[in-house]
Amino acid sequence: MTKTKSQDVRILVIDDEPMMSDSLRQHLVEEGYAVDTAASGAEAIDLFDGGAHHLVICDVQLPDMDGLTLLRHMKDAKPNTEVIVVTGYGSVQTAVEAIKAGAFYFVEKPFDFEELLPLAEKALERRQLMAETENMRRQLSTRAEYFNIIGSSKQMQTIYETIESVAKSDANVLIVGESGTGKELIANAIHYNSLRAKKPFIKVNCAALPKELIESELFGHTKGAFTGAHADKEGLVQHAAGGSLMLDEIAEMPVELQPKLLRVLQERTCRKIGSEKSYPVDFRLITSTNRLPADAIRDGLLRDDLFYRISTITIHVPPLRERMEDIQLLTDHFLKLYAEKYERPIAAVSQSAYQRLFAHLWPGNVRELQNVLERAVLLAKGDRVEPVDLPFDNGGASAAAPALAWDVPPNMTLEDIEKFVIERTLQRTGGNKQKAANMLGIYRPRLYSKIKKYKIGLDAVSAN
Amino acid sequence: MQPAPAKTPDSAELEKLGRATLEIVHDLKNQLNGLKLYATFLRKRLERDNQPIEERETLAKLIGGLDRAAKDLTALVRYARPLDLRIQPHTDLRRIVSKVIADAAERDTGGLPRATIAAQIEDDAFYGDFDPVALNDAIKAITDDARATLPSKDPQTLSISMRPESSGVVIEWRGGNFTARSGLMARANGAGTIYTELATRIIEAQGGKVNCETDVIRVWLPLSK
Repeated sequence: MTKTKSQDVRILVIDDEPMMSDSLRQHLVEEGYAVDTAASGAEAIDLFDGGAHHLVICDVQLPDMDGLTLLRHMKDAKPNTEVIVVTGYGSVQTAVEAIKAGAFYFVEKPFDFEELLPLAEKALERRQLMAETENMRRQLSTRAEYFNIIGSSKQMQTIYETIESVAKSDANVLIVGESGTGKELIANAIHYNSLRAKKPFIKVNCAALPKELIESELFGHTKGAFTGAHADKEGLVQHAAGGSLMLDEIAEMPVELQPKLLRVLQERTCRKIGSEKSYPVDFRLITSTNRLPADAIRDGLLRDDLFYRISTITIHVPPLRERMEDIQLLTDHFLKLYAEKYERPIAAVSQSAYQRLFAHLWPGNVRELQNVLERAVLLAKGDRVEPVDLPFDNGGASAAAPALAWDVPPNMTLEDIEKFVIERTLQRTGGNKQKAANMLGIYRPRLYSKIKKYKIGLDAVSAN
Repeated sequence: MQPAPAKTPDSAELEKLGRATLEIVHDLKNQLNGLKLYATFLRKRLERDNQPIEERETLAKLIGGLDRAAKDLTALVRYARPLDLRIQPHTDLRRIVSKVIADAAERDTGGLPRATIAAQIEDDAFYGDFDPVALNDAIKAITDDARATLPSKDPQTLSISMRPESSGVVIEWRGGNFTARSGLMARANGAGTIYTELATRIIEAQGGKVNCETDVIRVWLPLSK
C-alpha cells in the first residue's frame, strides 16, 4: 500500500504501555496512516465505537479488560474491521482463542515493526477486498449483470454461481465456448473475484503468438539462448506472479510445448530457455478454447494429460442462440452503451426490429449482436432502431453469418429453414459433420441432435 | 551474645516474590519493545537522511542490546510459566532439525564463535507427535549451547547427526568440549542457562531425553508407532 493511499486509512493502537503505543504510532504515521491510541479497554471502546477504524492493533492484556473480550466487542460491532492481537505472553491458547474470535493475526512481543507492517498491510488488503466483494454482492441482487457479463438466463445464473464458488480457490479453470460468447469476461470475473484480484492478470492468446516465440514469451529466456536473444527476458508466467494467467485458445498451443506447461503446473517451478536453474512460479491458470476439448484431444491438438490438469473446473458458455431470453437484456445494454458513446438519441428498439433480432441465429454470438447494435445506433434515423437499421433486414440472412448463397423459399417455417441449411451444409462438406458444424457455428453434438431431429439422411447428403 | 539465626524465606514468600518478579519482567519486556521500536524508528530516519555511519552503528548496537535483553526476558517469562505445548501429530522431526541447521549456518553468529555446521542426517522423514515451534526453539537452543563451547579463535566444525534408534531418533552434537562451557553440562550442577533449562524441559515434556557428555550432546525423541 503506498503512502498516498494509506492517508485515508485509520488505525487504532491499544496498549497500556505508553512507549509501545507511542512508538508504534510514530512508525505508522511515518507510513502515512492516521493513528489513534488508547491505553485501556474503556478508552479503546470509546474511540472505536465513535470512529471509523480500518485496523486495530490490540494488546491482549489491558488494565481494565481482557483483550479478547475487547476483540469480540469490536468484531460484533464492526465485523469488517481487522484486528491484529499482540501479546507479551505468547500463550498458544490465547492465540487460538484470538483467531477463533476473528483476529486477523496474532503477534508475540517483542516484535519488530518490519514484522508488523506487512501483516497490517495484508489485513487492510483483506478488509478492502471483503468490502468490495460485499458491495459487488449487493449490486448483483438481480444478477442481470455480473462483472460486465450480461444475462439473466438460467444458464448464465449457473455460470455466475460457478464463478463465485471457484473464484476464491486456486483451482485451474477451463472455459469452453464458441467465439464471441464472452469467455474473456468470465475469466475477468474469476480473477477479479479471487484473492489474487490485486495482483496482475496476464492474458495470452496462444493462437496470436508465432509458434517459435510462444515458449520464450511464456517462460522467458536467457541471453544467448537462441539467435536474437540479446538479453535475459522474463516470461509471462513471472509477470503473473501472485496473480492469474489466462491462456486463450489453449488448443492452439503447440503440442510440443504442452508437456512443459504441464510440468510447470505440476511442479510450480519453471526454467527459462537456455537456463538450468528453475524459479518458483505462483499463478492461477485460466484457459479457454472455442473447440470442444474432446475433439481437440482426438484431433491431437490438446494432450489429454494437460487437459485433465487444466480442467479442474470447466465452464461451458452457451452460444447466444441457446439463451435467446438474454437478447433483450443484451440489446438494452449495448443500445445504451453506443447511444452514449456516439451521442445518438436512440432510446429503444421497435417491436419489429426485436422480432428480427430474435429470429436470427447469431453464429457470431454476443460479439455479433454487439456489432449489429453499434451499426444500428449509427444508422437509425429516429429515436429507435427499426428493422431497416439491421444488417439482416432481407428476411434472415445476416451480414455476419456465413455467406451461404441461396434464396429462401416462401412459406418455410424456421425449422424448415434450419433443416434446409443443415442439409445444404452437409452436402457442401461431403457429409463431414465436424466441418459442417464449424461452418454452421455450432458444436458437433448439437449438429448430431439436429440431424436426428430433422431425420436428415447422411447417405443422401453424402451421395449428393 | 549469640548471632541471630539466619532467616530462610518460606515457600509462600518465594512464590510471592516469583510472581512479583514475573510481573516486573513482563513490564520490562514491554518497555524494551517500546524502546526498540523508538530506536528502529530513529534508524529509519537516520538512514533516510544519510546521517553519519558512526551514529547508525551506535544505534545498531543499541538495538542489538535491546534485542538480547528482550530475548532473555522472554525466555525468563517462558521459563516461569507452565509449558504450553501444541502437539501436532505426524510432525516431521527431520524437517525441524534441518531448518535449525540451515538457519544456524546462515544467520549472524550473535556473539557465538564462528563455526562450520556439518550435518549428517538420514534421508528418511522421522514422524512423531511434537509441538514443532517449541521443539524448534529447543533444538536451536542446544545448537547455540554446543556452538558456544567451540574455541573462538579459529573456525571450528560442529557436527550434527540424526539417526533412528530403537523406537525413536537420536540427534547428536559433536565437536566442542562440552565439559568446559556447556550450559547443558553445567545444568547437572544446577548452573545451566535458562535456555538449556527450557530446552530440556520442552524435550522431556514430549517424551524425550537429553544427555550431555564431554564430547557429545545427545537428544533422544520418540517417534510415532
